[in-house]
Amino acid sequence: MSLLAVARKELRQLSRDPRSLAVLVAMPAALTLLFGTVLSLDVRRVPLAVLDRDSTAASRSLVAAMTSGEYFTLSARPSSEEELGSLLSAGRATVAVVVGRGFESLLARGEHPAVQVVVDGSNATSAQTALGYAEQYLTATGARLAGATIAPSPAARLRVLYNPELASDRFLLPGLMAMILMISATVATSLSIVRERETGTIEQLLVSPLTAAEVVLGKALPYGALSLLAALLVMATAWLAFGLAVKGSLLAFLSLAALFVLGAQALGLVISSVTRSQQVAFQLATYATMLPSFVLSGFVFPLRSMPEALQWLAALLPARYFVSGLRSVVLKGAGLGVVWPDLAALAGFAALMLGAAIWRLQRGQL
Amino acid sequence: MTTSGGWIALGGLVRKELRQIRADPRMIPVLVVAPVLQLLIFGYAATMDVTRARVAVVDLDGSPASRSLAARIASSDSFELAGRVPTADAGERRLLQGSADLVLTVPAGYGRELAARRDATVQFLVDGTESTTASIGMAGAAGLLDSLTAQASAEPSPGPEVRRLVLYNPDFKSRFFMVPGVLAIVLLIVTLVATAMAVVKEKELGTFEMLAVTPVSRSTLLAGKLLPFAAFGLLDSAIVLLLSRYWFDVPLRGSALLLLGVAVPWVLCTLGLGLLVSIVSRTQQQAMMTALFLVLLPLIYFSGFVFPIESMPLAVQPFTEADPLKHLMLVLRGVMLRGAGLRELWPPIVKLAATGVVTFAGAVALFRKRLA
Repeated sequence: MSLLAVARKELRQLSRDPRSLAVLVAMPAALTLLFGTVLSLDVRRVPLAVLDRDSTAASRSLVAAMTSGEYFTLSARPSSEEELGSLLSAGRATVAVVVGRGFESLLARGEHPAVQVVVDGSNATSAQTALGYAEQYLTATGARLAGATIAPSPAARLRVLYNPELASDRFLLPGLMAMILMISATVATSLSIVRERETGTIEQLLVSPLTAAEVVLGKALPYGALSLLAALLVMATAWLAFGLAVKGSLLAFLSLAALFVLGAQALGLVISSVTRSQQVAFQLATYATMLPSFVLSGFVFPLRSMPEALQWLAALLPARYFVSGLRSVVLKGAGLGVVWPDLAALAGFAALMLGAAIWRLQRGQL
Repeated sequence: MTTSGGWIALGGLVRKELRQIRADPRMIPVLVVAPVLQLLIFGYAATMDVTRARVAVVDLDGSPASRSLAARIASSDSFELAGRVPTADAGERRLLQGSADLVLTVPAGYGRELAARRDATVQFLVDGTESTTASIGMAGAAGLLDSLTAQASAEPSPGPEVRRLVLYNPDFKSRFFMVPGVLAIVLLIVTLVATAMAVVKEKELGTFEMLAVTPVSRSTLLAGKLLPFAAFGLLDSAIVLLLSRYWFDVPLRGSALLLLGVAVPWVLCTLGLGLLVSIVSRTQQQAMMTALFLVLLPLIYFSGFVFPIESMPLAVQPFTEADPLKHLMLVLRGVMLRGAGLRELWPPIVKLAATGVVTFAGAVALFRKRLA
């Protein structure tokens, strides 16, 4: 089997560079551990500035209520509106609360004293959430201070499935894994053909009796096995460190990982076959993997909120199917019956890319 | 570079580097077009504004009251009707497939209970996997039910009147926040990656030794290598800045001069990092892995570009101070969105400048030692 001969040669070359080998296999798991610990989209410890013109027991307990939870951290107590403005402009406070003079006495008389919330809207998402929290705190505490008893509406029962605490790390982990694996798998093969071209060894391969398919598959195979190993390590890390076990079918998970990794590998080979220098191959691989798997995969930004043209673009990329498939299998406990469209898309992408790489090599256009 | 001979040599080296860039027909598109594409995609895609959550309705009651509840959902701003399903099981299946974000179950007898002025209970089932969408759906559900209960009692509750004022980005456009970040990242990728690869390539081919034995001084050699990529980086940032201002209408409220000023220490940082990567790598493949995984990803993730630094574990937060991208983000967003100037932004500017000088000087010193 000449395909295996190429694979053996690739493996031997890789084993001579133990650092790259280690990076390929262990780095994805290490990065999953690091970023999984650190990253979160939850809004917490928002820096809060308070301008309390009333300084009474009531106004103080209003402020105390806001900083009692984990949402706000008191960062400054400015003494004037100007100072408040400059704190916001410098980014040292994101939310500011201004309590006017006479707050306590107006409240005692049953009136509705104004409390001003100022929010820096530049980070649209977290600003909206923080504003919502601030208004809830102020309204609820204010009502309590005014002596009101509000019974919560009993009209609905709300039950959250799959991720009951709405923890953003559960939501982020599948996307994070997809991004890391996509980059490492594509990058691994993206230099493999172009390097032979730069050093001139590609001619030797081409005059040998090997077919283009054997060269391409022989290069994809060893890297694919290594990347699959990396994917399993990543999943084991997510399970051990973050308790993210595969809830659904293990077979579905393995097929997702294998097809995704194969597609990424093949994409790397295509990049490698259309470029003439490793430098360009690297730039292309970076742009082709980092950006789409970060932005167009549903990792952080919901695909549904994007303009239609970008949703179509995302539909052409494998990361999107891997992320949605992984979320279904890992978080929701789905099986092959639910994720087969994702699997089909991943298989299609891999086949297309392998075909393109073989075709490029066959034409011998170097 | 004290003599005029040094300057001539530098000119020759820069020309050589530019010729090498031009010799590869794909290099220019990659250096110039890719950043623009990146900005366009980010500018349009990087939005977390979930407009509507999709609700599947399981109506087990089939009364006029339950139908009007479904109609309210269809007409609400926070929801979109994703169809009706016959049973609660079928509803849960919709969540599993991801074709709905919420399932509203109206139990049999809802209309009768409501008519009898008793508490009628409905159930919302929420898919929590996408926590952002889920919170919006839940807030919408609560709002809907509040408005239903409020119809019964029209008495205003006591307490303060909370007024809101939103500064800088009153329409809450995510794009305003993301585009300045992309500006910084584009500059990072172009200069860092290009520098690292260009230097390692000469190492791999052994041509650096050839240059090193010529009478050209080490610093001239280095400057000739780095200058073209610094120029490309600055050119790219200018293009991206113009695009963000005139294509995406991201405001530039502060001084453009200040932005240009901070580009200098930032480019020092990225060139220094690129050089460091090239020092520790023997092959271009190693350089690529190191640059991506040990430099680019950590710098981006720890910068507050998307993931807020305040929500990171407290023990990790001090480490983000070492990330020059974080300081650059603070400055870019401050200047562009909030119109801040030196008076407000001097702390991150000082930190950025310090990181730039230390990284660059350190990298150059190491590089000369290795080559000597």
